[in-house]
Amino acid sequence: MFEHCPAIAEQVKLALGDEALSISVQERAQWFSCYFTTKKHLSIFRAAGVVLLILAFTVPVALLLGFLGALGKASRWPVISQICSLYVIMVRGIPDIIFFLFVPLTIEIGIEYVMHSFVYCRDSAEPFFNGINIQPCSEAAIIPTQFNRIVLAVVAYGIVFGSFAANIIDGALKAVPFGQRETGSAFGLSQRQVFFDIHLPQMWRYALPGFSNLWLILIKATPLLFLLGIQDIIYYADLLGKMATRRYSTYPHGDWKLWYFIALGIFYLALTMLSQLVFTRLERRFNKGMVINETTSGRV
Amino acid sequence: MPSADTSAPAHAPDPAPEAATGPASDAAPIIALAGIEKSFGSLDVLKGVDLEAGRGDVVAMIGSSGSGKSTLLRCVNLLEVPERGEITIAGEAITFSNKGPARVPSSAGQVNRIRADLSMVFQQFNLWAHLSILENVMLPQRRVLKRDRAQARQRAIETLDRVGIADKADAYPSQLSGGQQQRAAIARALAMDPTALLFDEPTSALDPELEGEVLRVIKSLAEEDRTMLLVTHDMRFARDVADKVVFLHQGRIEEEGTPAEIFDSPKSDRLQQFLSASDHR
Amino acid sequence: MEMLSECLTALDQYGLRSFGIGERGLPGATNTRGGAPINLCNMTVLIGSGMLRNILFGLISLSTGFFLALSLALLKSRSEWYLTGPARVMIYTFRGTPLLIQFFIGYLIFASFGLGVFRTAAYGASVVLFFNTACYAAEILYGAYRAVPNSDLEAARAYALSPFDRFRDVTFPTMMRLAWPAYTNEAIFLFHATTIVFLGAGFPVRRQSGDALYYAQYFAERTFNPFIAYPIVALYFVLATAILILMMRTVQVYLNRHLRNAR
Repeated sequence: MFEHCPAIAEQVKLALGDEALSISVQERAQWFSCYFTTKKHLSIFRAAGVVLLILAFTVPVALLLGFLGALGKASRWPVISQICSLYVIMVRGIPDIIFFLFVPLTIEIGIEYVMHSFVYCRDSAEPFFNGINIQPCSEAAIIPTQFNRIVLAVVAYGIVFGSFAANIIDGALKAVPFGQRETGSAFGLSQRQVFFDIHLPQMWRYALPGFSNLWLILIKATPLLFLLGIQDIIYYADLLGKMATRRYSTYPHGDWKLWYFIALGIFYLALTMLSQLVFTRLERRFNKGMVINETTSGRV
Repeated sequence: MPSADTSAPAHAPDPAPEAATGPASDAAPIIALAGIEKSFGSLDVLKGVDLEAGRGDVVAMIGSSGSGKSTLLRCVNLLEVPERGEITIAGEAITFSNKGPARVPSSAGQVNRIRADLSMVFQQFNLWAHLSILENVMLPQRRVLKRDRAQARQRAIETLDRVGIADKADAYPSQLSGGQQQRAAIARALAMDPTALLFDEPTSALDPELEGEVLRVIKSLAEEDRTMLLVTHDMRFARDVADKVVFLHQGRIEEEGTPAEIFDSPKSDRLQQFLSASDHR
Repeated sequence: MEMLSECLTALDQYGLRSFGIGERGLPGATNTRGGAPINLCNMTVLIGSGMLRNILFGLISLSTGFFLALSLALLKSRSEWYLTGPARVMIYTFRGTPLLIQFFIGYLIFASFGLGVFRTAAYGASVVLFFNTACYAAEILYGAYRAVPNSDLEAARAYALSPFDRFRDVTFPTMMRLAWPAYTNEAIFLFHATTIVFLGAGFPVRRQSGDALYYAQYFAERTFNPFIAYPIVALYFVLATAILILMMRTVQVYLNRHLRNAR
């Protein structure tokens, strides 16, 4: 399908060097269709898929942790309720990016520590903790692969967004009017029945605006994957946008970084727009029967 | 409203719990409260109240706001736990653990059983907002009485028909007027086939023009010889439906008697004051 | 005592290091100019020094961004399409795209226009943050503007207040009161967002004058130990966020002074 590409690339390359030769619109179009389907470009599309995949894996982890945090906060055991209370307010005080950097490293070091102390270097005289420095022996040291990094990123994102979610769920559980639950008790429903038949189903309605907002924040936090050393769309945009010289490249071009990043911006804009559309629909469905006092009155 | 066929199933399960508690309960009152004391913080709301309602009795509790009448009603099905005093429902005494403010019923199972047997109608209706009217009436039947879907549905439609809003079965509470919502709440209570019904100011949250439809339904229930405990601010209604009227004042029963005794020849000054004030309402 | 004097030296050497003042070489630097060893004092002081930059970024963009936010909110609430259109597009674009990408685009635009000064983090990142927070705040203010009760305005109209007076004396105070809780959140988020300025967002770190997270990362990489540097920067942020919330609360109490149960 792309057999013509080498020829077109060569032709355009020649034309760029020689003012006398001109490139027709058709050739330009062909050149672009070839350019956008090079191996490197296919990786940026794959990277976009990886971003969506990470999103898909993060959501269940975050929801699970969010529920555990919010429910744990109301626990009878003070230790659990205090840990969960801290978890719920954690991201309010500390920037999420610190967790993104901290959590993967911590997990990595945890594994290295186990490897260092129990598997590889039991006889080594070198301690794992050497003052402020941490030094695993060479066999125990992990060289992170792309796959490892992605898994660790999902865990880190899950923990951070679980904290956000816990905050939302905690608030939504409290927002369900007490009378709704009390009525359940008044009819003889057990605590568990009241929770699963009344409290939880009504909670969703109050949590949905928060979740919608959180999903948008999550989408907009995915570029930070780049900072974790993951070869995501930003990595490739940076790579592909660089000026490509005639000497080293089949498809030479100027510095197109700006265009690449604008394209990324449009990608994210489309993603957030689509999400908002879906959430508006969802909210309409969940709203069925639930009238929550509208505080915003339309201005005439 | 003809009630011969609908009231039959409503009373059918009654003998069951009584049989379980033995023959002694045959003559026992359905609801018996003795020496109920309750306080919120430093505020003593109930200061030793005794109250009895026999089978088929309609007892109306009146009094100014803050007199403790609603709290007393909520003590009956243990939405509030009194610090002192005994509660006996259909001959079965509720058991408590601990003392004072920490006092709690010892058995959650017993409490839930009692509550299922005493259906409550709230001032704010408290229909579950996420469920349709039909689902509202079905939920407690299914979860507490363990009726299957078909049974619960049938009973729900019967009771909704009984209160005159069967056509609203699939609507959500927010789509109904206050009067319709309260009638749905009454249907939900009736569908549990309770031994007694508890009404907590059932018309206070309604516009005057919607009160009538709800009052008519409650009155028709009273005429079926149901056991009912009723907190109300509507003196005319209390006189109309009640067999016994109880006047509470500052956490104590100041006076009780037949409607005629209470309304026509009040003995205490407080009751006289209260009645003359509420006449001008 | 020795510890104290050590820390005072660190403060002297690195207290304003993030602004390029003080010792050139960072602690533990491997080059010959490398000064102090890596210890708790140096870490705390240097990360704290970086924190000053985060605070500065936050304060500048927040305070200047407010005025753009107010203008955008008022434009968006007009009925003329040529006024609402641009405001809507701008707000939607900035709220719908990640800040990191905005940093990249900002840097590249400044570069292609040859705006040298704005290619430094101090100016360039501040400009991006300014637009970013202005758009988020504009949406909050717009929502609050629409929530101002009509009755308040009718009363003002009934007293024949001029449109400007109506805005200044009725709409604006109410709007601020309604917007403040959400605006507090936005302030916290923006403040936290200042941490990504130096994290590979295009803006170069000059002479290792970075922010709190830049130094924390430096130490974590140097020592392969994230358990000291990151908790330090986290603690700084918890503290700073608490102070920020306290300040915003004070303003809120002032805004709500006419309401009885002001929260």
